Amino acid sequence: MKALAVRAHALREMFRLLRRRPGSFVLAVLLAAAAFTVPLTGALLVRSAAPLAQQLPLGPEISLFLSMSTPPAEIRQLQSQLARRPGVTQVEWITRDAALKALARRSGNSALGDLKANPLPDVLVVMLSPQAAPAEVEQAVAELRKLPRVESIAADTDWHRKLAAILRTAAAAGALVGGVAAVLLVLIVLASVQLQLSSAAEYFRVLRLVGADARFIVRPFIYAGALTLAGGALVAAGLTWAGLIAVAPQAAELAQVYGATLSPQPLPLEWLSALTVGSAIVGGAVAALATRRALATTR
Amino acid sequence: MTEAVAAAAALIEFDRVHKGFGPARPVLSGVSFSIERGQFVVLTGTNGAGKSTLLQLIAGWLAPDAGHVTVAGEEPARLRGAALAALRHAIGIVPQDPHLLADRSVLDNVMLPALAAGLWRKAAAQRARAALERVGLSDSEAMPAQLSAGAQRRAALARAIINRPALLLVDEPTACLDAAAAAKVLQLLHESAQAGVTVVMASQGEPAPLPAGVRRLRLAEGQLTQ
Repeated sequence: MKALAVRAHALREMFRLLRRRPGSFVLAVLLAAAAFTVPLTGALLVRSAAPLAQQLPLGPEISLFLSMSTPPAEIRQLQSQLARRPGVTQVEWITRDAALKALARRSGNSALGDLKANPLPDVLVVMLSPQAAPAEVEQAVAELRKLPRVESIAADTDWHRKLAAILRTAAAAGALVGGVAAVLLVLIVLASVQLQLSSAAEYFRVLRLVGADARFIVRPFIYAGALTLAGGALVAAGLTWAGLIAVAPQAAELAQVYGATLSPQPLPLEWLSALTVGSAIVGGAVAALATRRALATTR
Repeated sequence: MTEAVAAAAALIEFDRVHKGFGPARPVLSGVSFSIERGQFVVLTGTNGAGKSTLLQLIAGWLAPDAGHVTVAGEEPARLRGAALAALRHAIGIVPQDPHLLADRSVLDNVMLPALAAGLWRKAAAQRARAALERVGLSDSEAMPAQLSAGAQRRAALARAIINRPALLLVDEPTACLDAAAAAKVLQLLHESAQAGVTVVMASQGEPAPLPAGVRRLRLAEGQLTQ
């Protein structure tokens, strides 16, 4: 009961602290929200684009053009043999007939269907894992080229190379933005707590005088720091979601150009809860350190 | 610590204590005395004689330059953190400057020690009202700035007694009070001593009328005379 009573008092003291400078508190929450908004927007965009990414072939593809005389049974055997190779996610067999029909459909030339003999070979499309490194893809191409019945080979390694570079850049940019945002958040809490501490000398002196221990004295400042960052995280989540809804029609239109669908996805409740609780812990910890440092000068 | 303060027979001991503020300003020069539990001690001396310094040495705000100050067997100046908080919790202190927080009512100021001790607000408020009644202050909702200097001192005294401390250190509690209010404060301190609380009161002159059984100590030129 005593533990609850001192925490209830700390909560009341925290509101007293915030009421003393309500403008500063609101400003700190808005600054924290601004710092949170950039990484949160990134996270929401990635989440919203996840279904789109699933619709696109992200892994490298290697097309094996087989000799015209390859019997279907041998092609099936080769297909299952390729599927067992490490790093291969799927092997698709495009038959000569299917390839001709697709060509006729794409070119709009119905005369292609009147050909006496189909000039197109059977094709096995080997799809590799998106994690495959460019060197691994090149090695696979060299090995597959040596397979019997394979007349020629085409590998879409350029797309994979570009995608890998884009992903690496995005990851580095994400880490940089995240790091800058983390530093900003710590500085915002520190500045906010320092402002509260600037007028707390008498408060510390009186509480020391009446026998309050350090935890009792520091707790309201910890709560204020926690509330600042948690509030900033919630405001940022609301702002980014509203922003995403606002640009959703244009984004959906853009995705449609590439034959895909894109719809805004909110942060799942678990993510939002983790973000809020994590922010509160960081805010509280930073405030605790700053307040204990200031309190150490009062005996 | 609270139990130790309450149980110790010789509660406060000064052993050849020296304290000064720089070589040019010696305040206490080899002061030795002891105060037993339940004693009501009035410490008199002129302005600057070292009365407040002596009280601050007991409370652990100051450390002696030489010699030892012990309270319930502990040296307050050596205590840190929770141990110092526990000692302060067992001591009710009324400093010369009442140190009331300006952003809250008298009631909120007085209930602070009870809240720090872990009481719920309702129970702390009840105790605070009772303490204010004992010191003769009725306007508990007033802000400190609205009170006279004497009323502020009484509020600080109410704050000091709210946790029923084993030791009361009061610095000039009757200054700025009229005769009736001063008598009421002295009566309260006397009752506290009769109930087993050790009271050390600093006063420039001897406040009249002093209750019977009060021990008198006088500080002059850094020395103690009984």
